[in-house]
Amino acid sequence: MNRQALDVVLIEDNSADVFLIGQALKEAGLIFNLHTFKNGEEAMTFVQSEAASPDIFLMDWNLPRIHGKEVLAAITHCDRFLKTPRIVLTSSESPADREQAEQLGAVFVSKPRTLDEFMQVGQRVKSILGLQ
Amino acid sequence: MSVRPAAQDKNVETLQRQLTEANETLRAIRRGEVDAVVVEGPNGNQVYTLQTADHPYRILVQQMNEGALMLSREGFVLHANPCFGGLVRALPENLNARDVQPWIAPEERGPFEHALRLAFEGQPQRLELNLVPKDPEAARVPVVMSLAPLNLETVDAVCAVVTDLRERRRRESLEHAEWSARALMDHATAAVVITGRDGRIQRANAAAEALAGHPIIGEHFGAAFPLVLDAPSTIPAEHLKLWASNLTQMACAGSTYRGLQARMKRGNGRMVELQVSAGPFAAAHTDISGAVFTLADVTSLRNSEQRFRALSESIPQIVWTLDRSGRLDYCNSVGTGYFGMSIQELSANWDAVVHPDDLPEVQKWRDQSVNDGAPLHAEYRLMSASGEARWFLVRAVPVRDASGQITQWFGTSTDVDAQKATENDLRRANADLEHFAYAASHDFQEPLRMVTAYTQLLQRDFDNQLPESAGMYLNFILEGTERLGALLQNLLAYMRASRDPEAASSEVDCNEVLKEVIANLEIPIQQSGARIHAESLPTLRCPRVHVLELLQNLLNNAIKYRRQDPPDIAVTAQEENGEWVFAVKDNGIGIAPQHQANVFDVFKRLHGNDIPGTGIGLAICRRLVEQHNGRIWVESKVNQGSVFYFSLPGTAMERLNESAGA
Repeated sequence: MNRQALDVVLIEDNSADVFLIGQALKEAGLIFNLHTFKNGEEAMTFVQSEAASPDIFLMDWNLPRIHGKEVLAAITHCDRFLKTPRIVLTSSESPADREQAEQLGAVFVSKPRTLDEFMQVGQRVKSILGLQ
Repeated sequence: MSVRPAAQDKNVETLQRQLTEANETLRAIRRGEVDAVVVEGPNGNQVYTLQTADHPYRILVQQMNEGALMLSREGFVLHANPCFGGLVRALPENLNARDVQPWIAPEERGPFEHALRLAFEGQPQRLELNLVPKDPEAARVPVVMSLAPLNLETVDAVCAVVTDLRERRRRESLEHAEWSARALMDHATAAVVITGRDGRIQRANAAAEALAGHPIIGEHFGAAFPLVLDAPSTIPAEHLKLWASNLTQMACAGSTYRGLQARMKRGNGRMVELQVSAGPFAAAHTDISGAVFTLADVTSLRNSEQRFRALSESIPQIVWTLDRSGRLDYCNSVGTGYFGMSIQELSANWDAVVHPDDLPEVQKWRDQSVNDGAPLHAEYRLMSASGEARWFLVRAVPVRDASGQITQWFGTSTDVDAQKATENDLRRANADLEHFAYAASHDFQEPLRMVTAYTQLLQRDFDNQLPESAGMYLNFILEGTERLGALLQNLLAYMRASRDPEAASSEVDCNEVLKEVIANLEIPIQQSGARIHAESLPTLRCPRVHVLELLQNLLNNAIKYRRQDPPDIAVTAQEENGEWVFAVKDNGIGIAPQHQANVFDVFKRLHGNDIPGTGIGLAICRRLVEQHNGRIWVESKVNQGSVFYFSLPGTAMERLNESAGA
């Protein structure tokens, strides 16, 4: 078991969702540092900085300033993140959005409507990271 | 052997007479006085001679204007007169002792032989024949031949009198022509008048006398018919005056006029509108002997034309007519005003008034329909005098004569520009509204999700720290959010029902779809104990998901709105007028008449919260059906049940059946 804290990058403009996602990760038993970016622009700056080396990206799709699609494309086209898992967590149910996200190598997850479903997201992250 | 003296005397007498005759015959032959002929017959050579051919008769026969023949039993010519020779263009003496048959048309030789035989039996005959002259260039000569037996001393013979029918035929045909002409004149509704070169009326039919109102034979044409010619725009007025007074002279000089428009004051003081034709009159093969006039009363025609014009001027549409070749020949003043052109200018520039983008379609129609008569029903833009392009609804239908030939086209062009603009605005407004509703229902989900999640978080994390009433409030909040969530989901589904252009049409076996629907509704069916009967349903070409949604919504309702008894549901489909009408019949609670009209409205719920639902199912159904130009309606009785009907186009189905049947 990796006892070191995970570096989780969360790109999400809705602070209510930031809290819920944090809660879901906690309840899944993960130990992590959460790096939160409130819009696409902030996220892009981080992605393009040399220092960035998170264990996983969690991101919204409809982001302010720079759209999630562009942020995801920047992540995908960066060699350093070749093996970094990416999860798009969005309220969009559009098949076109899903297709675009999946083409850029992301897992596309629709934001759940109930608390229980939301908490499942923590388990999902765990399994994607191979921690289960 | 004893011979009685009386008989002997008789024999002597006979022998003496025969001797005298033989002498006489020989003398006549010697003198060339005709009529004794030696014919090689079955009984050896025989001398034929006309015993009664007294001189005056012979002259008569020779001179008469009818053909005369003496024929032997075998049909040989014993004598032919010059007239007969003339008929067959041969010398009479060359005919003697020859078979007559070659001069008779081959197909008539049989009947002739038969008649000849009967004549020899003592029955006079009469038959029509055609003689074939010797000259192969000459035409056959129609004749009547009378055959009468003659008493000859030596042998019997038949006398034939041959009458040339050519003159009679000519006379008959002339008479026929005269009768026809007279009948034509008498039955013509138009007045027909023939004048001499002096302008005096020589002949007139009944219609002419009726038009003049008095007997007119001998009267001057101008006096009997005081015409005032109407001026077509192309003819100067002074010419018309000249014409009216000189029509007879000009017609006699060889000029022909047709369709002159004229008015005439009749004896009773009433004006009649006339269409007049005038031309030279010449009896066959003669010089012009006068003039012939026809005068047709077109008063009622012109009145009806005036009515048509008045009508076409009184309506706000552009009204126009085309001739059979597709050329514009009339346009009302709405049109000439709109285009700023006269009818002549329009006729020459018809293409120029159509918006260039729409012109190919118009030309295509015109090229085709001039031949096949397909009516026009199209919208295109017409250019106004000021250069504005406005949308018009253009219709045209052909007018056909009794034989089905197109004689004319009638067309109207209705300005639908304002209507079209309104339609576009409405369509845009609808699209905006739909977009708004779609976006809104989608965006509403987001905060709703938040409310739900955090209420549940409160409930979960602090349940035992909260007073009981707070727990109750949280439950109510969650119920509300759940319900709002369901409404938004359904609103989205409703929007998708029309926003989904990709819902691809395919051949859908509705029986299969129904099976799927029954599987989807397995739980409510089991819980309610519903029985579902289905007849064989058609295969349609339309999006499968639409059929699924329709049947599932209707079946779901039929189960949901049930009475105490288990639901009994029947699904049927019938073809009616090219569409398929589906029926879903239940034995449920039914719908009161006042609610039947609006059950298909969005969020219309008749039962409050007694029966769960969002009031969107039937609205979705209507939207789906209307997308396919179908209809949906309900027939229902309270406490007895409802039948929901919907129709879908079924023409594709027929094609499908045909190919499947092959």
